[in-house]
Amino acid sequence: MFRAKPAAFYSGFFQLLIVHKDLVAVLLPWIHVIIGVALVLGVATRITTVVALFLLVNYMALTGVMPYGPDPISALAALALVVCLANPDIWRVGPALARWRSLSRGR
Amino acid sequence: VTTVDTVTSDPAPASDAPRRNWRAATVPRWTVVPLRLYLAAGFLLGTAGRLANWSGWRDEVHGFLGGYLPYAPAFYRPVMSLALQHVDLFARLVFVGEALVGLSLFLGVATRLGAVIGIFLSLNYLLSKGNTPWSVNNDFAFIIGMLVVALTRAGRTFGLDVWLSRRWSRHWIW
Repeated sequence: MFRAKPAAFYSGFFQLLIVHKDLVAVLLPWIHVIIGVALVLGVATRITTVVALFLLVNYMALTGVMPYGPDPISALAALALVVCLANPDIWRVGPALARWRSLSRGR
Repeated sequence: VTTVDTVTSDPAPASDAPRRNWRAATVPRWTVVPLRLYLAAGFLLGTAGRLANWSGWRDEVHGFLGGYLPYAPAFYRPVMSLALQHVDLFARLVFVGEALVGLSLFLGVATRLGAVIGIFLSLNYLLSKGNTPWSVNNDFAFIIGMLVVALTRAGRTFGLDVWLSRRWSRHWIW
């Protein structure tokens, strides 16, 4: 069973999460799926990585993981930060869809 | 942003070229520096802990290899058995390897070589634990991170590779 070790500054927000645990349990898997699909397709990549970073920072605060430690959460956060900063402009579905729509309208 | 400080496959793209041609897309190299420093911290902190307690580190390696041996893929078990027989040597090799990777990534010296050694180490950890690349684990995340660092020559921004690449610009290790 997962046992949370929230950081001191996080305990207030953690209590709020516990109060609304049913809602959190429904929302989190959906947010994970949306982030994963958006990153695979390259749709709204920067905002998606910002949301992913928000979640990962919360997981770090929840589990007491340090941002500089060799841990899956912090490693994913470091990778997400690069994707966010680099603002990938290649292989995105969004611009391709926009071009296809403009072409189909004869513009 | 100048072309010197960017990761690009085609030189000097036109202003709108990246949107039309993915090969001409450029990304500022400084965006990879936080990842390089994170990976360096991961390796260096582990190394510092082992320096403080060397006998504990040898026992840790022994416990790691013995504990994960049943979970490792069949083709990799002979490597782990060999490491178990020579645990002192492997403990030293891992320590030296991690220290070199950490220093290389932190200082930005021979960054590509450091990243390649780091990928080799992390690949061995991944195989030892029997993890798969598609599961959430730090070893594969480290491999991807160091692959990014190596491909983008991340030491050429805020690293000593800036000077090394000026002197020997064509060498692959920076």
